[in-house]
Amino acid sequence: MLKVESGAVLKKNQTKSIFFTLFNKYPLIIGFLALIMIFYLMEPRFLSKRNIFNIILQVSILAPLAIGETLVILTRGIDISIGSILAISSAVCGGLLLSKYNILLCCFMAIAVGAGLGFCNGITISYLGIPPLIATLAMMSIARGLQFLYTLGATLYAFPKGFRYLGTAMWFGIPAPIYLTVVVFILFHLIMKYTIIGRSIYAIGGNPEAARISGISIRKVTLLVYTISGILCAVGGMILLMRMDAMQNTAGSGIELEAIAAVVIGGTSIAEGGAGSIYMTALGTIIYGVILNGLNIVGVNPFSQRAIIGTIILVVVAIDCVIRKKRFST
Amino acid sequence: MIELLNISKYFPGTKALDDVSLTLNEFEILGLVGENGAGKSTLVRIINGIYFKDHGTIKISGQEVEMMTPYEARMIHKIAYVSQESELCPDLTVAENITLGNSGNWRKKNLFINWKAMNNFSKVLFKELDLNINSDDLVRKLKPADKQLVEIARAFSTKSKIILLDEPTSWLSEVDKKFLFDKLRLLKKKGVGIIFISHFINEILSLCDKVQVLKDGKNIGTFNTEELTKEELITKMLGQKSKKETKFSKKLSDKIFGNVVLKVDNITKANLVNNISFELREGEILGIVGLLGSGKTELAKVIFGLMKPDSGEVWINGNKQKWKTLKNSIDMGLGFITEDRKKEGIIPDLSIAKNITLANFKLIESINNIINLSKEMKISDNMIEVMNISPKNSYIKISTLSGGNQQKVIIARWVLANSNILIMDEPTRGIDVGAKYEIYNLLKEQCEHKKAIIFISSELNEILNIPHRFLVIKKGKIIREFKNGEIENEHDLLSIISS
Repeated sequence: MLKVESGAVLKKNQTKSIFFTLFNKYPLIIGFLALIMIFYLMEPRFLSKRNIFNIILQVSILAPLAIGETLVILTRGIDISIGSILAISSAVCGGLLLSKYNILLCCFMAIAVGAGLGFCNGITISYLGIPPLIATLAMMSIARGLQFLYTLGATLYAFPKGFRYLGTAMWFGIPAPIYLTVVVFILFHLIMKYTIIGRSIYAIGGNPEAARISGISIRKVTLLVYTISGILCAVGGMILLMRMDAMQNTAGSGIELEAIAAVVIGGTSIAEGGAGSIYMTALGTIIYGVILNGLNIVGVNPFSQRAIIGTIILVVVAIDCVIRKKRFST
Repeated sequence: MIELLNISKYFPGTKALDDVSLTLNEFEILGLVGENGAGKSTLVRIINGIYFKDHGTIKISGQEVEMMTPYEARMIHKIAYVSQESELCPDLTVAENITLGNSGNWRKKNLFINWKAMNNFSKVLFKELDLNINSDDLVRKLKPADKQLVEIARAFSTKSKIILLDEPTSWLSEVDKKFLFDKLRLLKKKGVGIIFISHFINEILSLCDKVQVLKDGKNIGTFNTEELTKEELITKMLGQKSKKETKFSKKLSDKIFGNVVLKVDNITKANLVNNISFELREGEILGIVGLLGSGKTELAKVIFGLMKPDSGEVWINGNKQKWKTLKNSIDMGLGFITEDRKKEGIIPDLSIAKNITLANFKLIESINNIINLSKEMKISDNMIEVMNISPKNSYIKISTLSGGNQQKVIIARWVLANSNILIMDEPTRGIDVGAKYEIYNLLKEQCEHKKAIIFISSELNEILNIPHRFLVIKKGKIIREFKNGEIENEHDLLSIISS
């Protein structure tokens, strides 16, 4: 047997572990490919270049929200206010754009609103001790109410050209928003892997007591996580404005369900904290997009979409829970 | 009345009970003794239906019982059980807790609960037992002793034929104990069969007719208490070599220590810690030993900063403990290895490397807040080498490691955090012998490097051999202090602790 340096041996184990992770996702990837196959067979246009772009564009608004929700779920929390925060930050951005303010200023204000509301969520959850479900439920109503107050129920549309450019441009044959989506995913993947805050999120999700005893401030990390979620809602809101060129009252309504679906399909566990990752959510988001788009293309009634999403969440989480229960019975 | 034959029970990683048999007759109080981890609680929980046996036979009143739920145990077989830990609902009243699971007995028109009758039942019960506990109080507000009495009262209230008590006296005063023992003797006369688990040997010998000894999940034997002396019983619990003099390394008692690094001054916390003071010097290992309810874990938590005391001060390397954040405690030089590494120690899904660096991110930071993964890997590999952690792979999840190796990772974590005062609560619990010795050597090495260690353990052999001196704690007070070598063997130590 060759005597190898410990460095080389460890590298080999690292690649082994990547394959092992993919292997774990085996059922997911198989299901994903099977789904694509089924939709393609039913309607060949499904795999046309245009439709593939369509799929990714459809989830480009959802993507940043799914990332934020991943972080929140990793810390054993939940954020159902994301749709409303998206709505209000998007409305602020849109309103300021229509008042001819500097585009960068408008974007900055949107992010500020998202961060501010996310920060409020964080304060109520980590410093006041309100359970995340209740705190974000309240914020869901509050933020939506603020949006109505600001827009007075009107639909915002006809944004300045400079802004619309990003929504409709094509760079090297690929729509611009797709680049943005990819960049956001890569950015957060790097944050989770290479920064202390990323590490802390996994730690407090995996075992809050152990993290606490090691000196990690659960309060500060939780506060940051909800603030980031708020900021990502604002990013989603801006992408919405770029792509739709209009913002309705009901913007973001129901997107919290979709975000959770994307996260759980991707394999992040709601039952247990600290298990999951950004690339898994990316996969989940794409699969979600595929399902939605596929159903549309083969002609399923769009009104049944909500029921289908709900059923998917139930089935996926049930499988996760049953597996965990089997593993740990006395 | 109850016969357990050849019972075996497995838990992931251990065999908790190995071919254990037990017989409990009517009109009898059977004591069940053994060291921590001997299997007493497990055995009793199988009788009560909380755990299912893996092998063996259970016979109740001659009839074989294959499997039963706790409900069936209580309702059909009339078995009452008082657990070691409090199993009351804190936000319900005493009366509601007494009738927990039984409230169907107090119904009006078969649909509604007759609260008046239920509360009355509880009041009458406490009056009969001559206990001064208010049935309307929320359990949350009761003192630990009263909580324990409520649980015992509940067991007495259900016309049971068999009563199982697991360490029922850990919180009770002498007066309460007398009351309990009188009641138990009365019940015995009426034909009830009672199993009494306790660490207090004197109680066992005075109350029980027979005593059964368990050791490491195996049955050592059942003996008549009339013919047994305390010494003999302890010898049976610990094994033949317990009387043999423990070997002490001469170096231990001759060592000269450095400066005082930790000063604990008159710490008091409610019913748990009662005016404890001591000092710890550089290079010293201070042992703390005590039974359940002694307050040793609470003391450790107060020192580390997890709990704020009612009064008293703690000085760490000259700095005052302010009980603000735990990061503060760690920066001052403290480290804490908790009792339960699964609950409070490891982050199961993260790798060994990530678990090792958890308490000190500065070491692996390259630029502000960015982790240098290769630096982390090097540090982790180094620690794995130094502490002989196996398998030697920084990438694998810590949950796949054995208990001993997991514990080494946690110790490595605090070594990396540069803690010069390490508080270790039951550091070798659930760890195989080989790993134990490696950990002892690690601790001794740390002392050579001027660290100081508080070594809390209920394993007598360890307490006698590892620390330079140790404190015996009972009911929150330091009752004795011994230097290494002053007590000759485990037998004598247990005698002192369980008096």
